Amino acid sequence: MMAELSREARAGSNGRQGLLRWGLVGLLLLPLALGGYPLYLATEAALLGLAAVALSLLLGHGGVPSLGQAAFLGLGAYTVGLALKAGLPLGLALLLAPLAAALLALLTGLLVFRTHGIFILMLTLAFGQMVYSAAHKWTGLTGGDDGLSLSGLSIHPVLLHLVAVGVLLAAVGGLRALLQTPYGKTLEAIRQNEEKIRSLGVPTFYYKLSLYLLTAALTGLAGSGLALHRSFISPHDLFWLTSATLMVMVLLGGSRGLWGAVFGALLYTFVQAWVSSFTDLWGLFVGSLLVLTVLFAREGLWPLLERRLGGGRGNA
Amino acid sequence: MLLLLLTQLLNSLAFAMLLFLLALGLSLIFGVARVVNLAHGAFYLLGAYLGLALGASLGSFWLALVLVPLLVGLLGVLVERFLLRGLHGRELEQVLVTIGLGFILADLLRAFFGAAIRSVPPPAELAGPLFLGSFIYPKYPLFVLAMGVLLFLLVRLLLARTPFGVQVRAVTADPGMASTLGIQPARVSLLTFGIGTALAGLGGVVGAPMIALAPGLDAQMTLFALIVVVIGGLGRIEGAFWGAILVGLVDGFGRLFLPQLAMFLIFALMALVLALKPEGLLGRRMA
Repeated sequence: MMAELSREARAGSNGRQGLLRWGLVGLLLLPLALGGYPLYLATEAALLGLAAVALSLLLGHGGVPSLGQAAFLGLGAYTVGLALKAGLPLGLALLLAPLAAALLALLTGLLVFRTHGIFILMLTLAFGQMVYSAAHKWTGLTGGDDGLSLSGLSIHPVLLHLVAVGVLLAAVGGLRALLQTPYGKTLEAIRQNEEKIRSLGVPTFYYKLSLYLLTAALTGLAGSGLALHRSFISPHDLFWLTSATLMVMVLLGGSRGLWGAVFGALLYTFVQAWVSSFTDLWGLFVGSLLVLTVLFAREGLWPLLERRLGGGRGNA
Repeated sequence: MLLLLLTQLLNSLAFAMLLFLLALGLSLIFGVARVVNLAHGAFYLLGAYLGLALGASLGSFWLALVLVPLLVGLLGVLVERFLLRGLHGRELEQVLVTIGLGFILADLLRAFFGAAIRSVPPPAELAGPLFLGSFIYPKYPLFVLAMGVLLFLLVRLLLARTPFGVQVRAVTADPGMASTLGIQPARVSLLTFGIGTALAGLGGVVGAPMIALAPGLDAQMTLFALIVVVIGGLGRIEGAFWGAILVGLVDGFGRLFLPQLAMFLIFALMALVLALKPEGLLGRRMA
C-alpha cells in the first residue's frame, strides 16, 4: 500500500519535472514567434547551452574541472570558418569541427590526466590560453585581432535555431542515457572515489580521457554552430573569460543532471544581453556572478526549481 | 654577438625574478591554504597601477615600493577572511571565487585607469645605463635581479629559522598534525595569504618599469605564474625559483631566436615536464 502510494507520488513528481523540462524547451522555442533579436539570443543560448551541457557532464558527472573549454569552442569555430573559406561543403566542415576539437583534447588530455584535482584545472586553463595565443598570433590563418568573417553564407535564422535546439535536446537526451550505461555508472564511481575504482582494476585514466574527448567534440560542434550563427569569429572568444562564462552557466543552473546547464545558459544569455545595455564591464559582471553563485547557490538554481515547482527531490 | 647574448641573459633573468615573486606567492598560498589563487595576476596588476598612482602623487618610487605591498596584502587578508575561509576544504569553489575576483579586479582597474598602455619610468637613481667597458646595460633590470635573489635567500632563511616560518612549513606538511601541536592553521593561512598577495603587489611595483601596463596583463602574469609552479613544483620555494629561471630563459632566448614561437616553447617545456615528471621538477609526489 505504502509502496504503491510512494510510487504514484513519484510518478506524479516525475510528471511535474517533465512539465518543467517542457517549459524550458518552450522558452527556447518561444522566440521563434518573436523573431529578430530575441531569436538571435535564443539561438546563442541553445548553442552555448550545448557547450554548457558538455561541461556539466565533464564537471558534474566526471569530476573533471576544466577551465579550457573556450579552446574547443574556438577551435570548432575556426575549423568550420577556415573549411568554408577553403571551399569545403558545409556538411564536411561541420564534421571536421568536432573532430579537430577532439584531436586537441586527445593531445592535451594525455598530459592533463597525468595529474589530479586542482592541477587539472590549472593545466586545462594553461592549454586553453595556448590556443588563444595561437589564434591571436597566427594572423595569416585566423586574421588575428581582426577576426574571421563568414559573410556570404546565409542560413535562415529559423532553420538554424531549430537545428540548434534539436541538437541540444538530442545531446541532453543522449548523454543522460549514457549516464545510465555501465560506462556512465563507472564515471560516476570514479568521480566519487577514484583511488578505490582504480584499485579495482578499472583504467580510470582512459575513462576520463574518453569523456574529455566526447565533451570536447560536443563543444567544438557548439563552436561551429556559433560561427555560423554570428558569421564572425574573434580570437577574444577563446580567452579564458569564455571558459569562466561556461562555468558560470553550469554552476548557475546546477552541475548535475544536464538540464541545469541548459537553464543556466538560457538565463545567462538573456541576463547578459540585458546587462550589456548599460555597462561594458564584462569581467566585473561575469566575475561577480561567479563569486555570488559559488557563495550562495551551491547546488544551482535548477534543482531548486525542481524542488519548488516540480515537487521532486531535484538532482535527477 | 656575445654582448647581445649577455644582454638577453640578464634581461631573461630579471624577468625570471619577477616571475619568481609571483610564483613564490602562489606557491606559499597553495602550500598553506591549499588555494590556487587565480587572481594572482590581478593582484600584480593592482600593485603595478597602485605603484604608478602612488609613485606619481607621493613623488617617490621607494615609498610606493613599501606602501603598495602593504595595501595589496591587506586586500589579500580581507579576501581570505571574508570570501575564502567559509569555503575551507572546497578546492574547486575556492578557485572559482579567486577567478571571479580576478576578473572583477582587472575590470575595475581598466575602468579606473583606462585601457591605454602605460609605461612607467624607473626611479631616478636606477634610470640610465651602466657602463662596463664596451658593455652597456640599463641599471634597473640589475636591481630587479639582485632583489629577486636576495628575496629568495631571505624567504628561505625566514622559513627555516623563524617561528612563523616553522609554522608555515608545519601547516604545509600536515595541517591536522600542526593544529594538534597548538598551531592555528586558520591564522597561518590568513597571514600567508596576505604575504602571498603582498608579494604579487610588490612584483607589480617592481615589474612596472620593465613591462608596460595594459589590460590583459593580469591574465598573462597569472598564466606565467601557473606555468612556473607547474614546471618547478607547487608548494616549494626552490621549485618557484628554479622554475622561474627556466621559464625566464626559455622566454627570453625564445624571443631572441624564434620570436614567433616564444610562447609555444614555454608550453612545450611545460608539456615535457608534465610528461616526464607530472609533480614538477622539484615537486613532491601528489597524493
